[in-house]
Amino acid sequence: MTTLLIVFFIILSALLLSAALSPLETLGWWAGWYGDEEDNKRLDEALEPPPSTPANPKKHFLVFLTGVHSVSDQTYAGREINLLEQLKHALPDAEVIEVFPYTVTNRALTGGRVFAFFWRWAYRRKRQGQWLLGFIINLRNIFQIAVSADKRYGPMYNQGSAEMILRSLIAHGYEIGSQVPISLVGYSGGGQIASGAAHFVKAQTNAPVQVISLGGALVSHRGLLKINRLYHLVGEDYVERFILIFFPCAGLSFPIQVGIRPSSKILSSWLIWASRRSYGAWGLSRQ
Amino acid sequence: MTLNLFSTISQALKLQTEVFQQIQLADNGMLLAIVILLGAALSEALGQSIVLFANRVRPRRFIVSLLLSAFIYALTVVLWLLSLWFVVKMMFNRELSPGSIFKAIGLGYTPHLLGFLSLVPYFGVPISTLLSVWSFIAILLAVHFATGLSLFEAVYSNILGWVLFLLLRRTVGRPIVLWFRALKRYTAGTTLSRDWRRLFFSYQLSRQKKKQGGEILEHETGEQDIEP
Repeated sequence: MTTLLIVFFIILSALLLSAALSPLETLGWWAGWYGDEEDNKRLDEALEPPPSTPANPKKHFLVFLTGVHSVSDQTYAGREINLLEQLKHALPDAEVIEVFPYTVTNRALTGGRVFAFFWRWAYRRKRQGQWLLGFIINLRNIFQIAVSADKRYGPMYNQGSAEMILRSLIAHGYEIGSQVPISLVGYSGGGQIASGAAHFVKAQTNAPVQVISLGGALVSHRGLLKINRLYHLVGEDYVERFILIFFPCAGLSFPIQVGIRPSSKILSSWLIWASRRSYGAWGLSRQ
Repeated sequence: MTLNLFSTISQALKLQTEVFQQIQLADNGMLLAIVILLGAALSEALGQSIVLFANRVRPRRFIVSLLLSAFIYALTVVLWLLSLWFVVKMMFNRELSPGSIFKAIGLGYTPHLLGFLSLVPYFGVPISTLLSVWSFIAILLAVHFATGLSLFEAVYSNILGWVLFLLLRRTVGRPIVLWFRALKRYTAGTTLSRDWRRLFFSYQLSRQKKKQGGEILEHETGEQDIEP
């Protein structure tokens, strides 16, 4: 019994310590302690018309934000790869862009970091079936979802995510001010990052922005009322209910967070809440 | 009798009543109380360091500001316990040395050693509240055993001590508060705002200035000094 208690105490301490350290990357980035100055410079230049690069003629830009299982923007699960291939095939007029959303410094876990070697090793072992290392990767990314959803860190993290998405859009030839619609497709934890960053992206591009959450962890909803359209797709499994274990306030606080607004928005908010309770697939428009 | 630091912390966290009695008699009781209080102050300062990050304080200034915040926190506790000592002495007519109250309060602050956990995203604020309640219970027990007051009297004296401290702080202590605020601003190199809109404006402005190769001037951020 004592041994079990000691093991529990060690695991709890490790979890709390790693959770406490998880916002430091975002905070350090915001404070300007680190981050890519060249990236920022390119973003600043691109946000100012006239654009220096020729515009991409595509009629729609779709940014895919991967799930919590990823360590970089190239390590998607099979179902994600299939989905992206089908999207590219079905939407020839759309530019599909992939982004790793669990960092604000535009660095994958496996590159340009002090512990990159660990994440590379963990990812290799995970692919070989080591579930514990897969769980550690998931947990690391879940902590970043918590950072995005936190009232204190959220504005910083979501601004950083939006800048990363903008950099990717610009790198793929998106012309700021062109009004070409943007869809942020968030899978699993990517749903929260997409919903957090959406209104920042909309403010910077002045284009219609919609969020499509694929079983997404919509934990904090403050920015959602400022976007044009939101789809939240959930299946028959328990994934969405599982999210409530990590973020117990997500379900309870939803109508409170977005409900105390002008009457038209209250209706929208309650529609979201009611739909969420029914665990069905739904879409919502504010246009 | 000497007490071991780690077992004292462990027992205080478990709210074991013996340790609150033992610290009054231990030879190293005062030293332990000082160590625990300074540790708690530093941990709380770390937990609140988001204000420094949000205001884009540079690394060297960050460390100095962190130490200053910890010092101010510890000093605030000392001034509060002096108010408590005064209340216990005057209202309940107990002859106690300030040292006894210091040992009790120092040990009562043990849960704040975990104050850095308020950095935990999403759960940080509830954790911070939990630590405050935990610490309040520990302080009540500590005062109860240090002064011989009943638990109800301990609650009463704590509240009165806190009211007296706040009164002093807002009257005769006002110049000291303002001076410390100015010192914080000086060490951080900027005003410490908690207004997100102002911080965001400051962020955009610093990006623009950096792009133009200029230095950002403090008055351009339009920030107000809001007490952390």
